[in-house]
Amino acid sequence: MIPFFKKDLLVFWRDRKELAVSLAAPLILITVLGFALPGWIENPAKSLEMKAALVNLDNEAAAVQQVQGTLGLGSDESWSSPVQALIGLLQSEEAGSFVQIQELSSEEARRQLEEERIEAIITIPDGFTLAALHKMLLNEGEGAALQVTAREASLQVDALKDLIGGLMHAINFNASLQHAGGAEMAAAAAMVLAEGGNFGGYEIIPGAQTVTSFQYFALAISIVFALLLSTTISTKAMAEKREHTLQRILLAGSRPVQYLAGKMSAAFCLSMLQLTIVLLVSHFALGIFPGRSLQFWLGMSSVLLLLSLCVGALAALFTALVFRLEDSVASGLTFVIILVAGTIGGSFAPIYVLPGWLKAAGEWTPNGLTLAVLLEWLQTETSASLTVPLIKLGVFALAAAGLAIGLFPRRGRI
Amino acid sequence: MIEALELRKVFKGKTAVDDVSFYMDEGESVGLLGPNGAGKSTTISIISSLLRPNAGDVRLNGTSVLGKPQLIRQVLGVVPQEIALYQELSAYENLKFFGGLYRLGGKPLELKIQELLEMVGLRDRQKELIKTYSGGMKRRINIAAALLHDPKIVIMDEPTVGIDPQSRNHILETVRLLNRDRGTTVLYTSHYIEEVEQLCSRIYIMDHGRIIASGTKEELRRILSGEDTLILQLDKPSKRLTEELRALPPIRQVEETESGLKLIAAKQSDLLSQVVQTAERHQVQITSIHVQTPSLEDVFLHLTGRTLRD
Repeated sequence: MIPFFKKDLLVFWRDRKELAVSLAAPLILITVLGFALPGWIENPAKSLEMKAALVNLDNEAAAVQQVQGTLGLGSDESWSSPVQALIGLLQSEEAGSFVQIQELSSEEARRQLEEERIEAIITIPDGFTLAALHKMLLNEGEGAALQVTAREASLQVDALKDLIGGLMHAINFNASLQHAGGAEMAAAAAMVLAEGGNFGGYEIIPGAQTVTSFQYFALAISIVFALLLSTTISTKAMAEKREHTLQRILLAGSRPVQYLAGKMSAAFCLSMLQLTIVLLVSHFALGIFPGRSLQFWLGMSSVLLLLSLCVGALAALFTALVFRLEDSVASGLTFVIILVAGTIGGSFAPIYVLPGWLKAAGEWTPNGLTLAVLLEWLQTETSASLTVPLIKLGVFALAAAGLAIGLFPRRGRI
Repeated sequence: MIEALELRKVFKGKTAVDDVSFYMDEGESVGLLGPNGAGKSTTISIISSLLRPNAGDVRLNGTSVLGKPQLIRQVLGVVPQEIALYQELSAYENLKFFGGLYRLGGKPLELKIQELLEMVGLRDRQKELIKTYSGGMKRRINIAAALLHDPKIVIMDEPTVGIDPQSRNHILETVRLLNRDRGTTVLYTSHYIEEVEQLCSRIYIMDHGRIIASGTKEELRRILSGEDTLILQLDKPSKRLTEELRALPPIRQVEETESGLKLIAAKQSDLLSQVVQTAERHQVQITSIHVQTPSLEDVFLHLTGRTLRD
């Protein structure tokens, strides 16, 4: 296998045009896109953007009537509505910058959640106003509470929960003020609430960092260019097919699997080399990953190692296709595979602009999965988040390599 | 040493090789002669274990090698018709790579590479990339790459196609050296009849996937021993003359040449006068007549009705 490996590396190295495309093109793209689209990715509201439904099950009128009866007040006595205050806050400009709220019935909200048209449901439960007014006027009970329902945990849902928590805290705080300070203080507090005043600024998810445009493009572009290496290697195999060098290789007693293993190992090494050079040059030239720990670099290296294994296996698979199919069909097919994987894997456009089902499909591609896991790694650096994606990448590499060996023509059919 | 028995290969319903049998003894130089598309390359691919025949067998010293390709690959060096080299690598790097595949390395490989480069006359240009070589130089390295493991049998598939005379002479000299001085068994395929005549002691003639004649040069020429070859130079071409000559009873074949006609005809005392009279009738002047003993080209023409380069 070693002679094949050396040969493939040397053949690649001698192709200056290919070398320039593999190393210079991603660096240029990262620089251009990073400067051309600043803040495109790192806008925290954008990165946390979501849609949520508001389901109101509260009977506000009955609650008001009940409280008026309890306090012996007349029907002309009024105070600020907790539900309206809440809705006002949710629809304020600040909250609206990352959560788009629409009021729906309970059934419709559940249906939309199941269809992944919304990310969460905020439910105002029956008795919400009553609990809020009891706390506000009588200082009884724990105050009002909301329910947040989501299909799965995510950064957006965590942010929404924290936002709701903040709102509820503000409403209950207002109730406490009213109770302690009387109507004057409560009126002032109610005014603040009714105006939808500042309720905490940007939502900061504990332990999470935002991803910058440069970081996103550095990862997305270097990953897709690594993926493109697999087609470059298979294109070299076309020349070997055309020039009958494989026949000479087989005549020397080498087995087809050794030839494929050579392709795989060369693509793996070239991919690692390319990723390392592109990311390190980007980092040192543009300061992309400042102040990151050794753990961060090790985690990223392990993901890129597995990605390179996938690239190697894909190179072998595409090489097998070259020897199975006509050159034009094989190159067309590999181009389509890379294009689809690149698109749904977020290599050409940020993942968050894609619909949910496409994002899910993208995570079945090695580039999409790598990008998703690295973005999460960039934000959280939690080792547990690496385990499953690494296993998935390993399985993908094994499956592609197995398929390549299965597809590669046997002796007498080349 | 090596024999092919009743080989048959069909590609998508088209028979490329049909009932081909031949043998080569140790140290022999055998020619496989035939026009393009005759089935020579397919036959070579079967012998060298790259293709499996639909029927027939290939035996090395009496042992079938179809199921054991490694047996033949150890002793066989194949010079393919294509330049099976890496264009982006130098001659030296190509030889080192292919030598590595034969599990050669270190000093022995280095010595072998230099010896072969010397043999093909490219030692001083070994560091240059193959893509910068002329066609003839590439073909010489193509040969060297097949000799790295000192094969006992060398198969050369049209090794001189489209090259300059200097490289051609070099290649022919290399083949002679391999066969006469080193005792290597050579199967040389070509559609250049003079090369096969120069290099090979025995010849198989192949056409349309079949062996149509075989033997030594003399044996093959004897096929036409009862015939003469007449080369006529004419002052002008004449289709009607050609047709009438073709219809004469002693004449077997008529082929148009650049300046006249080439006739293969049965030996007959009045042959010349018949030809001259026919030409006069058509008012075509014969400027020269050359009578020669039949060549292998004539034999091929006689057997197939066409020339090797058709």
